[in-house]
Amino acid sequence: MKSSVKLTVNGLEQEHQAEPRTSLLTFLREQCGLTGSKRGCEEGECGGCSVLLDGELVTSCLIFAVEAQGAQLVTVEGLGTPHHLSPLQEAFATDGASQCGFCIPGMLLAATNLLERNPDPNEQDIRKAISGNLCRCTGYDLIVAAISMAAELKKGARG
Amino acid sequence: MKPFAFHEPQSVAGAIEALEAGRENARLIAGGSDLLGQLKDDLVHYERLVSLGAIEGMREFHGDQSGLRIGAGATLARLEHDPLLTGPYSILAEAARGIATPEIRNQGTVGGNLCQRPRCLHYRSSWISCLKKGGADCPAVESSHQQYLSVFGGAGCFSVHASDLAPPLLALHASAVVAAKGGERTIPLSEFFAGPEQDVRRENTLSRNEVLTAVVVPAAPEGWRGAYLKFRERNAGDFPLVSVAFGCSLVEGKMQNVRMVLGAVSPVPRPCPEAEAVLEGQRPDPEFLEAAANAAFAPATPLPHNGFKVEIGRALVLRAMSQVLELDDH
Ligand code: FES
Ligand code: FES
Repeated sequence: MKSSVKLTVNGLEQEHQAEPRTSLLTFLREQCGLTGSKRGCEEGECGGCSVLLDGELVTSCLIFAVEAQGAQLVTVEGLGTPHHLSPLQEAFATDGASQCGFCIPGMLLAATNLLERNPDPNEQDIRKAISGNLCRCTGYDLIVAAISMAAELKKGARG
Repeated sequence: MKPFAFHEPQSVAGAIEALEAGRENARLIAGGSDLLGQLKDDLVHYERLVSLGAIEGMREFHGDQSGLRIGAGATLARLEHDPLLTGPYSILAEAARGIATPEIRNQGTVGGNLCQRPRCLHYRSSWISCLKKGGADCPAVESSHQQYLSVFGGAGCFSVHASDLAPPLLALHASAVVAAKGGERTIPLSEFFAGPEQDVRRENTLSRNEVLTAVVVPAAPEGWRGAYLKFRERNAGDFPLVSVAFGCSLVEGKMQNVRMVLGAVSPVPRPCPEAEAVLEGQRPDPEFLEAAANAAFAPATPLPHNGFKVEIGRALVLRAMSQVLELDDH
């Protein structure tokens, strides 16, 4: 039986009908129309569906939408706009960190979460932070470099 | 995935009631990272899921001179970072840091980790019938995919318990707090787990309408230090092929309160009293350490395709002992 699920995604309230078995990922992609979060493995292994739920990085494929009732979510669509990229998006673009791009939304959210908690991460910290995100194009080195470049950029901006 | 009703009680009593009302077709859900996978793969089906997520009390986290009390709903991420988990208890933080991925550690709970189902590939495939799913026999013994199977025998089913928290909790002599309709009982964690000889379809002694609400860790012996080492195929995201929790205190140069528990090598986590006895009261000389590692695996009876776990296990035990005793690794 469907019930109403109400939550906030990227600052906007979303309310849609969902069955208990609807995953948060399906809810975001099919009900909210936000397809930035990717459906990869559907079992918590690839991190393509990673979003921030009340500030915590989680795999939206392993959460039912009903469990996120009332939550505050951030998806990749909430990080920047084509004309105003976030520092991380800027760094990924400049550095060529994105190949096919499928893993990038998850990578960006994992990295955003890292830099919020640790503005000055070392390489080890970065690799740990994205350890739940698989890049099928295996471009990890450029992704790690882009995240550390973004940390530098942000530090510069703070002056 | 078949449809189900979702209940979100506000209290443990409410959860027990909701379970009772659902009879055989109700199941608890905590973080859900194991259960959702099983539901999606149609390994299991329930008419009612009873969520523990809204029960604030299940996330309790206390510590004092008498030990720790950790709610079954505490997340694995909390264990990674909580300042209470230092000294003898740092072994729990170390184990938590090695579980799954950062995402899953934010979702997964202590109780869920202890109640997770096996990773045996045969159990996890919906098109393969096996004893755990009510089938007639165990196809795994004939298969070449035996990395997640026991090297210490099985009673028909050879799948292993994959929990990374169980070995260090057992090494710390933890207990499980279990709530039922009539009240609460506290049992040693060693009696919480039960292998296929008891009931091949489950891995613990919880009855249908009971809820694991917390684990209690007694005060550790003075100066006790432990280490948890886990061997896996990839350094992130994987379940253990072999793991070991080892700890002891050094009193006047001699080992005391020696604890050793192996993970992922037997249907339930495996304490090693023989190996502990080899070390208890001795100085940490290489001969004793070697003898203890050998004693831990002496009863092993690996299957045709998982003998490598015994060799890795012995090396891992030696490494864990060296780490705790701060010897040079050899
Ligand atoms: S789709 Fe969720 S982790 Fe892969
Ligand atoms: S860029 Fe293709 S999967 Fe990572």
